[in-house]
Amino acid sequence: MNTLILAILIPFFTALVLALLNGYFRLEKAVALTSSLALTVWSVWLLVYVDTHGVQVTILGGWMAPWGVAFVADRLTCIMLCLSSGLGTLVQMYSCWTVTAPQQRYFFYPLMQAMVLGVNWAFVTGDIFNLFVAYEVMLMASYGMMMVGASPAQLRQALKYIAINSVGSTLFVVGCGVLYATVGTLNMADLAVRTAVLTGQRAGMVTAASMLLLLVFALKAATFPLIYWLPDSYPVVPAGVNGYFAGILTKVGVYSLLRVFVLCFRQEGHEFGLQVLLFLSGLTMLLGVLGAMCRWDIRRILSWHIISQVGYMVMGIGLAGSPDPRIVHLAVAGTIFYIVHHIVVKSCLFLVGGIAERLNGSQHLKQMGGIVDLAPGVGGLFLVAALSLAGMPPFSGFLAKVVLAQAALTGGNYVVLVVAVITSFLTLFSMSKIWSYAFWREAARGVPLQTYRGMMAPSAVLVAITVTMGLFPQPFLDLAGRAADTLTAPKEYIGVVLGAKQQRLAEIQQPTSVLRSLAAKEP
Amino acid sequence: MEFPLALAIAALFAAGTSLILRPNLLRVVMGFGLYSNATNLLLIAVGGYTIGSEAPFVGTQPSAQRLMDPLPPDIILTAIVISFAVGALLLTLCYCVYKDHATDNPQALPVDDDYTAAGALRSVGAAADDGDGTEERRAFAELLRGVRAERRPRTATIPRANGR
Repeated sequence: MNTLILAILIPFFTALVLALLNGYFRLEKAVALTSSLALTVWSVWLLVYVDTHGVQVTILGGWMAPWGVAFVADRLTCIMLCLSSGLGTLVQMYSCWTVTAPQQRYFFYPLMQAMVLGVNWAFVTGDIFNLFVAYEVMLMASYGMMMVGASPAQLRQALKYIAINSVGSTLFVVGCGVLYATVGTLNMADLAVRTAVLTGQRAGMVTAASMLLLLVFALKAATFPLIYWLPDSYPVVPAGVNGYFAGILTKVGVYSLLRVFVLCFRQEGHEFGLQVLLFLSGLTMLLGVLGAMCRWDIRRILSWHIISQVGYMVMGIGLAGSPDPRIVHLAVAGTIFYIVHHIVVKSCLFLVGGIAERLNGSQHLKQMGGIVDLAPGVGGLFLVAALSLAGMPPFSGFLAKVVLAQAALTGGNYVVLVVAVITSFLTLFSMSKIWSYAFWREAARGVPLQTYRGMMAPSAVLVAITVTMGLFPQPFLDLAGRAADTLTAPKEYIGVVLGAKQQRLAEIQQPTSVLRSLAAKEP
Repeated sequence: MEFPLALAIAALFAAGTSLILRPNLLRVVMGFGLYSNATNLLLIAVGGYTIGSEAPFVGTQPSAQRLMDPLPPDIILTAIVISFAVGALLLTLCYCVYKDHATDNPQALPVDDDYTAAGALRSVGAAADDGDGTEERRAFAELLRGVRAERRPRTATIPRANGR
């Protein structure tokens, strides 16, 4: 199947077309929305197809599997593609109301498409160096998006964001280099095969390279101690798009951790990386929620909560270091379920927070109030999303936390479990602070500052998803379980990716590439 | 060839780190330039470069023993392009920040507390709440349409070199 490349081709060409259409505001919106919707439909179709037919692979450039660039879609990839494309559509819908004329002139919609392009690329690639390139595409678009409109505050914060991510990129390339020098491949499936037999000094070198990659991914996911860039930079992103930043961009880091540390690194002593992650996760959770508790503006509170929630997902990945395969499976499945839950709920909170700012003309809690009176629907959306984030039943957050807690309990990791439960209570406290100040107090003004009703639709879709996931969790949990199967027992994944080598050889009758024609000339 | 390469890589990384930690935007950008060069040297070392090793695909008689691994140069090319693009963006950004605040010291930049369009409303000096908020709504709508621009804190004088 050769259509996997569509995941990046659709947003790529849309971005080009949108850049040419710059200035025709309505046409631009229509094209962006249509293309995103098409991408979402295609992603859902791909998820169904992969779920029934197994892992799909596309090898680019006429080279064979471990050398050619492989695009691989297993269930986890497809779940992430659905979320990224779907959330992209919702955010662009929401942006129809929020984006200002200057922002649109600064290529708002092309940048949004470019961001979806980078994110989808990171999800669909099966090669670590390609993952680096995808990261760079995603980061470049997010730099642009952070600066869209070019207010002085945005420029100041973008400077920090670019600086810290440049350090991350450097370490990424170094990690790739060390890994390539030791193992001789950067293809993920090939890595899984080759590291599995490594012992002794070479295994140690691979662990060292994996620590470099851990640093990079942890930086992108905002894991302790690399968290301080996030709560400063995310609030300057335009309202609506910050939902995409909060939902997807940090989760690309978590996804990479999951993919690389569970699938690729299987050398002797690979559990070390996972133990480090488990240790960091507890600190991330606690520090994130403590940071949120002492803030007073909505965007900052929500940004700190991203950090604390990332802690839970990293905890799930860390629990996969257990020697018992059942616990590993449970932890990975729980992490995948948590990622889905968190992307939906966190972006929903940012979208609703954007509406609340619009209603009150401020994002500072002490200047807000009475949103329940002004707009009861917005209050309802926020309440459901906030309770789900804190892990209250019957919403998806409860189940996500239960699965991870079960994995921690069976594995005997009581300390991190206690930290997770405490964090959950503190999250509830922090959410009720927003609720009682912004939503429940006496109204700060009599009428809403701006229209808001249409903006509720995207948030309502997200709330509907978290309620469905909470009330009918079994299909979602089953899907997460099957996705975890492919990751923890990667026989199918490896077979399909490296098996494509044989298939490819059979396809190419004539030597086409330079190396092969060279080899043909050799006597 | 490994030892001198390792020395060069270490020196470049050390110099880059020291530059990045300086409170001066231009030095920070230069530091990233050194980082990217250090990384590229590391990748050359990874490719097994020794004196006298041959580039692949060049010449008529490639001997397998002295052939350099073609993949790391490929990675280096990509990394160069990317670091060039990020460097250009970073330089432009530094210039914009310098123009806004007339300082190239990141520690002297103001601390942000309120970012939104609504916060910008206060910075364009819109009228205070006049009871029913009509004036405020109008100003906000203008801001959204881009009629009003957010006020830039442009400082009066940017110091010039050589007293020009």
